[in-house]
Amino acid sequence: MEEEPRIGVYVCNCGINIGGVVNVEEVAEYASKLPNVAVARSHLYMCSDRGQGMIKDDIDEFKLNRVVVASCSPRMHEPTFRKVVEEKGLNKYVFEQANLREHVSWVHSKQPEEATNKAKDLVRMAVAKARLLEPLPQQMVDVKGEALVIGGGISGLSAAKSIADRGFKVHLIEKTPSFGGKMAQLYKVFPTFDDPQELLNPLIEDVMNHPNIIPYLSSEIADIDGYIGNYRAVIRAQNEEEEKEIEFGTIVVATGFQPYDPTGEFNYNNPNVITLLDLHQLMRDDGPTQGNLVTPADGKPPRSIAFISCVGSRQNENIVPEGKKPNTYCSRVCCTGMIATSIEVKEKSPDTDIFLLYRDLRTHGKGHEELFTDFRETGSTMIRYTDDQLPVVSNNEGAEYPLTVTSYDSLSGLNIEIPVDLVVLATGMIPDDTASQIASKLHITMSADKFFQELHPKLAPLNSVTDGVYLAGCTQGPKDVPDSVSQAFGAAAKACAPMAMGTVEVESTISVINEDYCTGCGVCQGSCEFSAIVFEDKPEGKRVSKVIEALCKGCGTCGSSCPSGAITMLHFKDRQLDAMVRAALLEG
Amino acid sequence: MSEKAVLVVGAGVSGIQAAIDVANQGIKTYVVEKSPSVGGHMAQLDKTFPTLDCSACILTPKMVDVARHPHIELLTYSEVKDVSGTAGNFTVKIEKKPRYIDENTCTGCGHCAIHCPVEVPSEFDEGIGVRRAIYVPFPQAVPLVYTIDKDACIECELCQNICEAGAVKYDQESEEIEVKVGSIILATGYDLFNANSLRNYGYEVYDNVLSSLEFERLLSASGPAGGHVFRMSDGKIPRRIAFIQCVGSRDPEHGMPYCSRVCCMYAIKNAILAKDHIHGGCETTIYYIDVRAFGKGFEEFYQNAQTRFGVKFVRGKVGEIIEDETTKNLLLRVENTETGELTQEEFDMVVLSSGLIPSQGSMELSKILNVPTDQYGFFEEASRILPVDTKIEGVYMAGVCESVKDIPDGVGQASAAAMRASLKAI
Repeated sequence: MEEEPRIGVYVCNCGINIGGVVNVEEVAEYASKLPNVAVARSHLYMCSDRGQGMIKDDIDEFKLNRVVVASCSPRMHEPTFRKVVEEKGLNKYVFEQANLREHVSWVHSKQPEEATNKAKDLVRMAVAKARLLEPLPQQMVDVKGEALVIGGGISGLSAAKSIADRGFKVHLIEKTPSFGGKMAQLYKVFPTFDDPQELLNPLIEDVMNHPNIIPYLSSEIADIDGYIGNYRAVIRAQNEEEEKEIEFGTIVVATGFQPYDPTGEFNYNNPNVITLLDLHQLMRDDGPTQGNLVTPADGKPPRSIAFISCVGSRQNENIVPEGKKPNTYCSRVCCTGMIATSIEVKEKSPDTDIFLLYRDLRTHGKGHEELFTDFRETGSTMIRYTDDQLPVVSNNEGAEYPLTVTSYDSLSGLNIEIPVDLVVLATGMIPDDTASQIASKLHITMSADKFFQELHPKLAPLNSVTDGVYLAGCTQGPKDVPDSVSQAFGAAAKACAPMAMGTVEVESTISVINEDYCTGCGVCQGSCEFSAIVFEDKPEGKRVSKVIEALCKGCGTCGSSCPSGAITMLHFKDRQLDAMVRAALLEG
Repeated sequence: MSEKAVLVVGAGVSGIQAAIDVANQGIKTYVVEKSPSVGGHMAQLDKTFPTLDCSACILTPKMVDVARHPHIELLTYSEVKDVSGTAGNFTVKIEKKPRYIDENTCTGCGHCAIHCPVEVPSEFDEGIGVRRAIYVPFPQAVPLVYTIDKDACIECELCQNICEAGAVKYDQESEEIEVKVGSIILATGYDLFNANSLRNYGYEVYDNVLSSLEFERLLSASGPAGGHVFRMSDGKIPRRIAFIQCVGSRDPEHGMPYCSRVCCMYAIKNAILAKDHIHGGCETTIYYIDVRAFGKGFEEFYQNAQTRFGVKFVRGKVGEIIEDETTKNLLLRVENTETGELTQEEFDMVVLSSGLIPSQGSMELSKILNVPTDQYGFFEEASRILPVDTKIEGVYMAGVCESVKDIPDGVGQASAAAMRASLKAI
């Protein structure tokens, strides 16, 4: 830009948030004397309509071509002020924000004088950068109106149907031969004791017959890449050579969970020690015993059952078997699962005695605590164990009951021995084994528990860190059926938004590569977290790196790694940052 | 883009998220909020569990988004009065209550409130702080427009005289607005259980027994005490604080059998924050029945509270609080169910972890819309796999009005309601 910079500087009081500490008038007065500053003012709230109007009027009156607002974090109001300058016909990238709240008044609230000096430093730096700001073109990306849903459990089915009902084509891929996932394996769904088939079957039928849904059963993703609006995948049917390439704009990941494997714990190698999911199988009419509740080892109705909670959940270094890493998290559904299943057992077999070994009883959901009240009325025994004294399950060769559970009960302070026919381990949830592959292909991150990490737990709980990829159900962390469905519907809404609009804005603050300087060494590609840099063969035979603009997050890592100095970060050019550093250190 | 619109009732974090997710699909969205600002209860919180994010810092950008969105029409200080029609075709009558301020000319400068001579307890600060008769509920209110509380106003006309913009309009009248929408999302939130019905805890009788929301306002840097925790009786810094769990939750005797789901975590968070805020140290003890740390990162937070921050956990339901009349200290009588001992412990302050109940607004709307509720007043879902559909077609729900939940679950459910509602508006 050849035009002489004419900068307007606006210093915000933010009520008393900034003004209560920083001498805002003094900062504005100081700013007005900086080079190229045409006008500097202060206001109680720059973000208010009046504050915004002040900037607009000044753009006209002083022919401003750069605007600096010194207020709060750009996280909140950068879009506000960018819009203000845009409304006056300026490019939004000629706006610069200095943070006098989080970086000054809130952290130096006891030192008003020093805070005012620091505020001046930050404003001087922002003005120095503003002098060198350049307009950038707005990048838009077209969004293909088709979605991919990975996983055909209750979450994937719910997400797929929503997107399809909204009018977009959905590719729904499931690795097993049937839809329904883990929910389809349950005996009953708590706390209402609905038959899972009765809930699932109409939904699966809708999905199979939906004109907008293309189901892929027994299939897996052989390859997937792309960026928001323009993804591509190769789907491979198992046991077949057949591969199909599809294109789509958004992705919902609903790969679900698998139960924790309790091998090596609680005498699990004894056939009469089973998991809660096994017990559900055993109780189903289509199960191995046609719904007759009998012990696996001897086929007899169990006279007594002990349920043990927190198997594979809430572990710490002391209570994890050798060779395993502790699953520190709570699996969220097992407590209510145990309670509900116990009530079902009592209904099928009223004479069976039930012992429930738990740590904290977490019946937290809608209608769950009421279920716990019902459970207590069954006359069952509750034993509260502690994490420093886990229950022990031992074989009882030749005795009347084949198993003995020994546990400390923290409520009575006693060590208790319980002879039982069956032990049921309420195993926690771990992510599905396909999750890590998908994570690496789509560049979505996992949290410490290996479930997918949401972009922000409260601002964006359904977004992954990759634009256009959304999370549904237990793929993000353990949850029950309604919570999974909620997330699935929500992820579907997120996926529908860019498809409904047809295009999506992407930030213009990306890296660009000077092809003349680029030697095609590929170091930048290795440094890019987002796979946003690829090779391009030029007609003259030279190979250079190229940035896929929609994938680039503008993080700058490639720029600092480039040995040839061929990479420039738009809006954060070396000369812009140099000017800020110089302003900080040499001036003032 | 589309023919029909969606109405969102309630602009707490759930309503805000639902509105944004509908509007982001290019669908016209009306948001009706009965109080003068959007933000709901989340705006009152100091920090949020388990990440200790500053609540206002993560909420205010969303509040600004909902006001700025090109497809959203925000109606604050407004209430739904009547709904007729069926799914795909609702007619909604909305009353826009008089603020006695012209919304379009008020600049939010606040000079009026500085000059207003009338002080009343601030609802936003749970009565610990005060506001003027002409007020914004809190500094980051959206819209940043003042409102005159006519019940408190003495019509001295000082505000009218001081207002440079000429925005004060004593003769403003309520306005009726009619909108047509394809679907409705209820996000009417919750009220805090009022513990004054539990006589054994002395809430509203003993000075140093606080509700959890009162304690949040004390902790908040933007609260009436600037984040300094002090005792209501004498302004002294409390060195021993007890948190009592399941106040109005898991308590069938008082007609409150359900678990309020968030109290375990917010108590743990507040116990940690109390230690952080009180210079010179503070002992915090949580009296619980079961610690329900079930969400993502919660169990780890609970473990950290014990090992890193030294928060003490005692399993037992507090039977009674007795106030020492001279010191105003509080004696807790409780059976420690792990040791079987009956104990008496003295504390400087007690915070009641009160449960969440359906809001007054939910009750009113359930009548207007004939939406069935459960025995407590939470809206009932259509089925286990339609968790955000109410039993009335075209009416959906998000957040605590459906059942008690935390912010991530509420925000997720809001997006879900947006999905369902958008299907009736295309």
